[in-house]
Amino acid sequence: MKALSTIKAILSAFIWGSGQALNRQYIKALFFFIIFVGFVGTELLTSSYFEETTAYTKLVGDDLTDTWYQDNLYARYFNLKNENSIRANGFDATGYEPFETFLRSLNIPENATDKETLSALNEINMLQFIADDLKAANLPTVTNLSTFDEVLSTEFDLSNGTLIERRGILFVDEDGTYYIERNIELEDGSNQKEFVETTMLHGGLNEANILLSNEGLIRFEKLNEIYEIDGTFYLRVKIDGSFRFVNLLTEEIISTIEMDNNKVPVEGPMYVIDNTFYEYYEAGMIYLSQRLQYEQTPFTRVFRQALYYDYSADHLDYSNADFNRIMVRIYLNLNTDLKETFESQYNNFFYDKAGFFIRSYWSVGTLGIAQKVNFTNHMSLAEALAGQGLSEREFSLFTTPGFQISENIPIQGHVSTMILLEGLIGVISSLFFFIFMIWGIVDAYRVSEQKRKNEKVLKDIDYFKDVYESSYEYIILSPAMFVLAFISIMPIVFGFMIAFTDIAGNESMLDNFDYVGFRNFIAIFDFSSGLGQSFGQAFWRVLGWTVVWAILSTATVFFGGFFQALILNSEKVVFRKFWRTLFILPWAIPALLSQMVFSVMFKELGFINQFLKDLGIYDLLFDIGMLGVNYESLSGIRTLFYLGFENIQWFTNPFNTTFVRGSIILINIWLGFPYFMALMTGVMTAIDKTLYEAADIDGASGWQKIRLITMPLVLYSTAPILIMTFSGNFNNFGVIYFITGGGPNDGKPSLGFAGDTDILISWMYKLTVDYSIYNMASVFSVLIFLFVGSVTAWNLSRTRAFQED
Amino acid sequence: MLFLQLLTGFLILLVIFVHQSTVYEYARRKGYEGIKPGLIGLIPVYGLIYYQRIEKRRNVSDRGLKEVFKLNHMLHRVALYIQILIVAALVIVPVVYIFGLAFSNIRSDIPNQIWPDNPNFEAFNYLFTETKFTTWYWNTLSIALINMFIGTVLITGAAYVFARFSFKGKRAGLLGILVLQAFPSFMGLIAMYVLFWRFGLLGQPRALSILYIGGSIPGNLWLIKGFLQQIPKDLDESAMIDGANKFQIFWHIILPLSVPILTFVAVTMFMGPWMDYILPGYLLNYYPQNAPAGYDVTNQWTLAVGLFRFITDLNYIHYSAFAAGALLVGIPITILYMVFQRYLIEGIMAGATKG
Repeated sequence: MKALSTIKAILSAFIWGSGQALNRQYIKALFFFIIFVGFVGTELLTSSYFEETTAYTKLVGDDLTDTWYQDNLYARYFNLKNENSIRANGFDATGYEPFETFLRSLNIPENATDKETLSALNEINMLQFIADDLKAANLPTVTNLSTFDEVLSTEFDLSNGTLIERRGILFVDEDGTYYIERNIELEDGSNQKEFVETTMLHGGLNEANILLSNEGLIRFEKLNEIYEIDGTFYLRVKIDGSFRFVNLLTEEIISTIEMDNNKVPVEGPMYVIDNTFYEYYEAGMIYLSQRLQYEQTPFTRVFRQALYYDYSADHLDYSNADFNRIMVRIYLNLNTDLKETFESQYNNFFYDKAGFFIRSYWSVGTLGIAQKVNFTNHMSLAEALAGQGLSEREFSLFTTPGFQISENIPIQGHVSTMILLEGLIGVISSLFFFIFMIWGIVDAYRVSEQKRKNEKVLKDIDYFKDVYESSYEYIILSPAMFVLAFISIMPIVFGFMIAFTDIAGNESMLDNFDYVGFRNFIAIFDFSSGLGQSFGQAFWRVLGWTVVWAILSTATVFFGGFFQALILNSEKVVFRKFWRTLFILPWAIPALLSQMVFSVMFKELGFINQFLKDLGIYDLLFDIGMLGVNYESLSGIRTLFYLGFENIQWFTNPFNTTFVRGSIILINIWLGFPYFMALMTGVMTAIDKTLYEAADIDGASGWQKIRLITMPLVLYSTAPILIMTFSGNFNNFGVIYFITGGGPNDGKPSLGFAGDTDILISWMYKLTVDYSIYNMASVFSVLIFLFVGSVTAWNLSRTRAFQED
Repeated sequence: MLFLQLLTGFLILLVIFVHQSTVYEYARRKGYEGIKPGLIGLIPVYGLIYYQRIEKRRNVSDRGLKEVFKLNHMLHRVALYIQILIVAALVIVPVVYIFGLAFSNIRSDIPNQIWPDNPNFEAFNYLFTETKFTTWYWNTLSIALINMFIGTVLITGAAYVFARFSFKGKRAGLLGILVLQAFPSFMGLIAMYVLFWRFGLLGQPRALSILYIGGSIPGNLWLIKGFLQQIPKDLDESAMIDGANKFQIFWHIILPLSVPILTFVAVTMFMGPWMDYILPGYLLNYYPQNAPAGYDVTNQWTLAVGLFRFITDLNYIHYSAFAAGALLVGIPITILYMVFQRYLIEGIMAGATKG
């Protein structure tokens, strides 16, 4: 039955070797099964499918462990409760009410001490409790600054209050008008400062009054210090270097007040309503570059106390990283949104659990999902959790030796470049395994069919003998194929995929980025988009010049070589071999070196210009107006003959692109003609002399002989080289990069960073190495592939070697 | 005046060479060939007189001899030598310039003299004492050697298999390699960076050779394969009858016959890294994350990177050191190319036509 064979084939796809086992070829089955085990084993061994993973493993440091909370924290609390000192601890023998409620919710009986019952007091619960406790004790408040009455912000309407801006630098003129400095971006991309009218204390801008300079204005600096004397509030300011005080209600400036003991501690935003001042306070908020701290609760004090003894003890190994970790975890518990994102992104099934192969496919498909994060807001917990200042009585952890809190706790996120690379490696490796899978499937089907038709079936051992015989080729090929797969194919696929992402910018290599579909390709045709405006237009400009360059440089070099070969072929030249050897020198000198030498020689103050000056050619050029004239004053055809102002600007002339491009083509002749000359000399000497003699008899002129005999024969035998040279010049990185470095107008963002002589390859190199615009560089290389690739493929497919196979 | 001096020099040379050409042809018509008439022709006036007095070795009429001095022949000669002398000057000037630069001691002023007023070896001294030139040389050399040996072996094996055997996937493999060849090598640059970064190879010069090998497989594989296919298959078959296995056939028969192409491939593989800037410029400029303050990144460089930095990077600028280094690198390579020019040019030709 044919169906049976199909079933066997399908089975072998799921469990490799099963089809062979059903065919009763057990050795073969074992062979495929072992490879299958290798494949699945790799996947499983590199995975964490059967382990519990949490997002918090991404945070450095260790947890304090559940037992710490039970043995240390709870025990400390229990002791303090028995101490029964409400003044010292904030709670009496009945305990701290929120915590007691929490214990009851966990069904832990009062005064329990045995481990069994306390097991619910694990780390997760405790961290959640601490966060909840802090949150309940730190609801946003509004404080009346005269009476220090504090009410919850939900019960007080601040919306019609006026904000007092108590810090900042203003400028004031003689009439008492205040101005604030701001930066504006001009159309050409540069920045400028301007000064806009504002008010002294309440902000607001009067766009109708803008000064371009602060000349004649007096510097007025608000110092963020509030003083209260007999119900009147003052702000300390510094006017033109001397300290003054401003009455916050009348804006009257007085020279001195009694500062001692009158300072009002204000941290949050300050409002005035009906001549009364209020402070708004919300823990965690950042105001005037200060992070408003959570206030401690009796419980965090216990927590600190418990930690304090551990951190003071040398033999207990608690590190700063551990503490940072606690802070971030409590901070995340306070902000549930953040916590959810964090836990879902940093505990991803595919990234954190899956094995090598499945993770690879996911990686290539998604490029990773976790964005880089940098925790800083945990610092608002510093006072509550670590303590204030160096007060040992308050169990400040800062008094223990070496204690420190990190202000930045960065977490790398999924680095897309790495993920893509590892993903591609995994995908390519899996393909190697799939070759065996397909082999197994085909074999299972074929053998089954042979059996059905009662044909002769090779025995297992004979089969493997055959395989060994014919695997010689594969064994020899394998190292080369391995290198090709991971050094050629993988990078090319990588580059190809990068073209469809938004990776660009200095840090983007370390970041998470995404696929953007064909956006980058569309930008090349759509000049209205942001990318299109710079890179789209630049691409066509550079491509146009690249094609012109490739054609002209190939043609000049070809005909230059041809011409020189003709001349050296003349019988009138003596010591032809000597001249040929001399003229081949530019080919023998490594091109890179001669290119660099040219870049030095053709500098504006370099040798060539000095030589021309000494020759007197400079004077000539000045006389006819090709030098020493302002470009703006030229018009029409004369703009094409503008060489520079003081010196000939071979590669730096920002106005006359044609001249710069012409120079580089001329220099390229020096580099390129000898090769063609040598090649064609060889061809010419091989031409049958009788052809010329016959032509002589027919009365052909010298030119006719060249045009009708030499040229076609030479062209015929050098045509393949011509195509090769063309695609070589299309990608002639060295000539452009080393000699001109991109040429004039290089490195302008609005021009896509492309200089006037940049060809695609040098432009892409700069985009990659200097400007980190990886995605666009990849887009261009994909397009180059389409262009050069089709030329090369066409050229090669015509060759004998390929047609033979 | 410089212009007049140059013009005079040029005219003198022109006269000498035109005279030489005339004498040479005159002598040839009289039946004297070889180097001697050419050399004697270099001596003005005397050369002509020498050959006028000498006996004819061949039967040639006086008219035939006088034809040598006809106006259009002379003009032809003058035109030819004007072109040749100008091109010769253009070819030689940059070469002289680089020698001149190497023997002056110019750090950051732009050099504008062809020959220094007082030549010295300061630049070479600087190169060997103040810079890591020897390290660069060694880096480049070791990359080139690894590239040459491992690469050639790898490619030869693969090419032999492709040329001689038929096996499953051969056509697909060949097509794949053909397609690979069409990709700009540049396309993988970013991936190569990430690959090196992932495996901690950034800033390790010798690791570059794997990239060079990978890049050179497709082209050279086609080249060798094309050559091997020209070796008659009968040789293999008769060896097979004599009981040789596939490896023995390769070792004793194919390998000796393919020495020319293998030499060419080995030389190109060896030369590749010397003058490549793209890869080392990107991958060998790596400051490790916890690099100490005075970390010397120049230790990673190859010659191409080091030399280019001498003329572009303001931190390292030293024009004379560049020139001196260029001479030390360039002279051996140039001599090698001059000596083997015929084989190399033929090899490139073969690469283009045979595929």
